[in-house]
Amino acid sequence: MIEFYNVSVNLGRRQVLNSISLEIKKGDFYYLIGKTGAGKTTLLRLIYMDLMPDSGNLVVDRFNSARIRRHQIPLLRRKVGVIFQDFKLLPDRTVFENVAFALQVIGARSYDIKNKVPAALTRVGLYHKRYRMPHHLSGGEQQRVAIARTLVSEPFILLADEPTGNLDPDAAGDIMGLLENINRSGTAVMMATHNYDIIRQKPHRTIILDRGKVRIVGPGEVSLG
Amino acid sequence: MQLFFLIKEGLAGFKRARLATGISVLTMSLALTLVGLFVLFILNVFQSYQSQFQSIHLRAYLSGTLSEEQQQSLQREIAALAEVQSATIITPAAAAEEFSKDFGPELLEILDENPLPASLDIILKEGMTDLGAINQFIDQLTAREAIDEVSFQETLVRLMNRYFFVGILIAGTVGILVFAIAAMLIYNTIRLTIHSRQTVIDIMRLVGATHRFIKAPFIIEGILQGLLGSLIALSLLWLLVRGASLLLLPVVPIPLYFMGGLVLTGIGLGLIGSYMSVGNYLRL
Repeated sequence: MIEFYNVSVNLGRRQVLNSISLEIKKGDFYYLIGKTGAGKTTLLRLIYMDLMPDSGNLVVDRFNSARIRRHQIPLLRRKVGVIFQDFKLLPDRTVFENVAFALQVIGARSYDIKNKVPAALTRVGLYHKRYRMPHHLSGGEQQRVAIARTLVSEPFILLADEPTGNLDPDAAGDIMGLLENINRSGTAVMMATHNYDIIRQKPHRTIILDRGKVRIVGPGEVSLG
Repeated sequence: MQLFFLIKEGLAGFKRARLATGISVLTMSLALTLVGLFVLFILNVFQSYQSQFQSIHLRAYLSGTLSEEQQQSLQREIAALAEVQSATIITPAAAAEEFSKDFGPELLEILDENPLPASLDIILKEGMTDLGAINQFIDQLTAREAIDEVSFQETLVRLMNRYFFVGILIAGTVGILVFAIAAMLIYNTIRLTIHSRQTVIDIMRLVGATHRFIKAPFIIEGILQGLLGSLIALSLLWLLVRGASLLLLPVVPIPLYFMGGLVLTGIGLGLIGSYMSVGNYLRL
C-alpha cells in the first residue's frame, strides 16, 4: 500500500532522510517518533506528496512519486487523510460545514454530502454538535472534527502529525481511542508523536527516526529512556 | 452543484475576509481612478488640440476703401480657395461688439468713431496645420491690394507643431507607468487578501481539491472585486468631471467607451491578479 525505496530528502543543506526503505500495509498502526527535526513531518509529507524525494522513490496506492503527474496529486490526497496538532479548521464555518467542505471541494454530489457528513460526525461522536462553531468546542472536539473531515473521504491511511500535542491527557486518550477504532475498521494509521505516555499506554509498532535512518520496533519495545 | 458551490464560495469570500476584501476593493477603485483620471486628462487635451487644429482661424483685415459689394465678392473669392473651409465677413460693428465683449465697452466709448476695420474670418481646411504652408497662404492673401494684413495665433500653432509628438511620447510613457503602478498595487492587494485565506487553501489542497477547483472561487472573487472597484472608480470620476464642469472648466463628458473600458480593465486586473496570486501560492 505504501512502500519507500531508498528515499533520501534534503532540506537545505541538511539531509533529513538518508536512503530509507519502509513498507506500510493495509490496517497497520504505527507510531512515528524521533527528536525534533528528526524528519517525522517530512516523512508524513512524503506520503501525501507535499514533498518529493531527492533520490529514491515511494509508491502510495497506485501512485509512484517518480512518475506521478502534478494533476494526479489531488487524487492521491483524496485517499490519504491528514490531521495536525493545530486542527486546521475553518473558524467561520459550523462543524457540519467544515466536514462537508472536504467533499464539496472535490466536487461531490449533494446527495453524498448529506449522507456521509452525518455518518462521519456520528462516528466521532459529534453529530449533536454539528451546528456549533469550532471556537465553541474543546480542543479534543476540534480534533474530532478534523478526523471526521478525513473520514468522509474514506481514506486508506490516516496520517496524524502530533494530533494530541495541544490536548490535555484525557482528551488525548479519547483521540487515541478514536484513532484505534478507525484503525480496527481497516484504515492504516501513522501517528507522529512526542507523547511517550500514550505510546506506553497504547502500544503499537513504532518507527524510530534517528539521524536520517529508520528503525522499526514492535509494540512495547520502545526504550523511552 | 460544483458551479453553484464555486460561485457561492466566491461570493462568500467577500463576507469572510471583510477587511482584506474591503481594502482590496478600495485600493482597486483608487488605482483605477488614477488610471481613469490620466486617460480622461489625455482625452481632454487631445480633444482641445484637435479642435484648435481643426479650425485654425485667420483674420484678414480689409482695406478701408472697399465697398460692401467688393467685400462680398472678395469673401466669395476667398471662400472658394482650395485651402479655405469658410470665410465670413466681420463688419466693423460686429468687430466692435466682439472687442467690447473681450475688453469692456469703456475703451471704445472714449473714441468718437469705430476704428476697427472690416475683416474676414477665414477657417482653414482640416489638416492644414503645417506652419510653412499657412505662411505661404498668408503671403498669397496679403499680396492682394484689398487685404491690408492677416493675423493668426502663430505661436500656438508653432508650439503645437513642435510638441505634439513629444507630448504623445510623454503621455504614452506616463500612461504605461500609471497603469503598471495601478496593476502592481492591485496585484499586491489581491495577494494579501489571498494570503489571509491561507488556511482555506491549505485545507483544500490537503483534502484533494484540484488546482482548478482551488483557483475558481478566488478568481470569481477577483472578478467581483474588479467590477466593484471599477464601478466605484467610475462614480468618483463622474463626480470629478461633474464638479469640473460646474466650475465651468471646459471638460468633455465621460464617453461610453471609456466607461466600458474601465470596467473591463477592472475585471481583467481582478481576474489576472487573483489567478496569478493563487497560482503562485499553489506553487509554493
